[in-house]
Amino acid sequence: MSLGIVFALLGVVLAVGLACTGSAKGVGIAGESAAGVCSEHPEYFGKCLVLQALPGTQGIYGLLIGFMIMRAVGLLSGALVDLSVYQGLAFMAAGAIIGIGGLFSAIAQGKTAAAGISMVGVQSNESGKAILMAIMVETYAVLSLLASILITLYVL
Amino acid sequence: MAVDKVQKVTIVGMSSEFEAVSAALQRMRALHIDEIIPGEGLDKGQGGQTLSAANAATDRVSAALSFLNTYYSKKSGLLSQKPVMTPQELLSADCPENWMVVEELEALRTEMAALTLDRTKKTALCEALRPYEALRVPLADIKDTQNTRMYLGTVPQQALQTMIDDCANTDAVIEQVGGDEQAVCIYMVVSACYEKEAEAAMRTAGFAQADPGVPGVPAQEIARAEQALKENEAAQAALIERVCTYGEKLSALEKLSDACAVKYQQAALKEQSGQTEKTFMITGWVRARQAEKLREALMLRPETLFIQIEDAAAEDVPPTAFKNGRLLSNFETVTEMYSLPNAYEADPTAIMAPFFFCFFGMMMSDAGYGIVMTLVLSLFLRLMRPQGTLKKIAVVVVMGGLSSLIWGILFGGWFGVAFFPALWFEPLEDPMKMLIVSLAIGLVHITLGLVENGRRLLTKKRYVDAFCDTVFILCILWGAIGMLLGVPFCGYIALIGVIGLFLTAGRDRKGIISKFTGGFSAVYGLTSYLSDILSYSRLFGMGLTTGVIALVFNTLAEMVMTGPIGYVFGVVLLLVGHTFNVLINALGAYVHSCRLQYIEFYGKFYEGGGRAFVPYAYQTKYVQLSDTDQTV
Repeated sequence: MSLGIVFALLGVVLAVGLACTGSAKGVGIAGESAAGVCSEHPEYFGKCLVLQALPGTQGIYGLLIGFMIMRAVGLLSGALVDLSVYQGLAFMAAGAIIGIGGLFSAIAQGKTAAAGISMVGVQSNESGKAILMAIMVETYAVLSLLASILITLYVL
Repeated sequence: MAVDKVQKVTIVGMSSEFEAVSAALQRMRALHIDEIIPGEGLDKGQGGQTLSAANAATDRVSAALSFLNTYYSKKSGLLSQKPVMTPQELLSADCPENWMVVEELEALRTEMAALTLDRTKKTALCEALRPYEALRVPLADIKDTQNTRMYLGTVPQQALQTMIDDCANTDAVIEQVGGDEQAVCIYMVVSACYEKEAEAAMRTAGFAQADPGVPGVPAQEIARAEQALKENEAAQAALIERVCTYGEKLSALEKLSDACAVKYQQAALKEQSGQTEKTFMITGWVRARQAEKLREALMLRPETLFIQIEDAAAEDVPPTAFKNGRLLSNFETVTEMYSLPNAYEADPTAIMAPFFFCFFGMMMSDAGYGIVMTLVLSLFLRLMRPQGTLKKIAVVVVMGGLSSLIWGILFGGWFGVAFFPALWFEPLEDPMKMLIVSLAIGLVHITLGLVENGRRLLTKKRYVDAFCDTVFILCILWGAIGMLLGVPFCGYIALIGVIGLFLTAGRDRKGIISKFTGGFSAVYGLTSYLSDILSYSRLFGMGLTTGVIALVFNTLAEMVMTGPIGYVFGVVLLLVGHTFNVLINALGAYVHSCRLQYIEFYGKFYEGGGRAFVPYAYQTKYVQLSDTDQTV
């Protein structure tokens, strides 16, 4: 195994590890709010759950990049590509983008979703608006994802 | 465009006719009622006794229903529909037999409450007595005699020794009967002559008197209470069984609940209407095309009724009634979530819907998922017959599924596998192309938004605004694109646009300096168009997500698919994984499509802020009403 591969795998660590940490925190923050609202209004469970799920996407994006890197370096097919150190570092950079972007955007989105869930508790018909407010944050995770995808696809 | 014309309605009649008119209007489902503004000689109606009685009845039934539902769970299939009935059938549920059931349930509820209270008391008693279990004295005997004082209670653990020391000069007998790490339970006897000293010592130590409120020996009292608790439990179980026998009455009660709600709604109308001594007045709005039907239906009532239907005056704020085709009307829910068109603007749903359709499909971009979504939601619509917003969203998602099918065929995505080669190109193979396609679609969308803005300004006869706010920006936008593509002269077009915008954007402001800053800020604001267009890159990002996540699950399944057990695991993994992927991505595709409409598109021309046209109608929770005089 070359040093390049090791760097590429560190990219996977950053992408999956950081983005999933962010999602876990975000979903957790939103979940606390959701539990609070559901204790008063169990009938809003579905609406709260949708909002709670929103910060979960960053983890998925992280996994997606991690998977693309693993596939690109041949880890999944078993035939490892002979990566140079520079190529490995480039993969690591790709992983870092969604990792960092996902980490912070998921936490911010979790807070917005939590506020949205409180809003649903008072105005149950406005869950659509609450979802949209949380989606405004999601944009930046998608942009990070996009940059990561483009780098991953163009390294080799 | 697609907002229905509404007309103002005023109905005046004799107070004795109010109930009949109210019921007729409810059946019609055509009149949006505005609350009356009280004026000279015209008071706002009081619901009075009828309303409070209806309110009380509704509360009683819903309390009985929720009591029943606490213990009885209906065995309903997944695909149970609401029963369909006529208003007459529904109102017939308001009969003495059903009220008997409510009364019986209320009696049972009172019994249950008593049992629960008793249980709480007994449990608390056991808790309170538990530390004194070792005490062999009946509690009733712990009382002051002529020459002695007796105490029972707790002292903090660390203060006990001090208290014993403080009582050393008295003849106090302190017996420790129980306790835990924090507090010790003591039984104490002291001669009456030492009462003061002993009580002073107890106060310093923080002694707390105990009074369980029962006479016997603690251990026996606990046993008695525990026995009572067991009986209580049995009684509750028996009671729950009795409650459950009312399970078969559940649907009757639900009907009764809806019947009460309908009556309440009729009574509540009075609060929105105007009343004089002998007459009433209702004002509201009707769709112009239903106006004559409304008049006819009400004229079946006695001739004492006066109905006036007229066009909205300038100062009126009519509600917004959508008017779209059968398919398009479902996309209204997208516009509704943002804001309803106000009374003076056109409904943007028709120009938004094709793009929504396109975006949703691009973000799913998997033909397999498209087929699954279309099938599942069509079945849902067919079997469950949802109503209102839910139905509209379901239809929108069905359309989105079809769009996904189309894009999936173009991009070659079938559950993440390229079963069929891409008709156009594979985004993963040529990501730059996909990014450019996304941004190009965004450019078209934004251009359309600007053109629509110009069109709307033109219909308002604001010709100068239409020219300055639209043409210059379009010049800049397309000029810049042309420059990027290397088309000659485009740079000049963009420059003309910038100069034009700079000179005209501050035209509404007073003073040369503020005109200057207005123009400058408009030019500076052009950067928002860059971010608007880049925002469409989400079409690419979200689309790719679906495909790659599908690929992740396919790869995982492939890894475990060795041997028969592996195959079972693999199939389960595929099912769960793809279901998850469809759900999360359909949600994402829906809300991101909405966002692109709201921020990037509606932001260019749409004002919103209208109020919904909500016709006065039966509002039922458990049943669906048919056979109404009027259908939209």
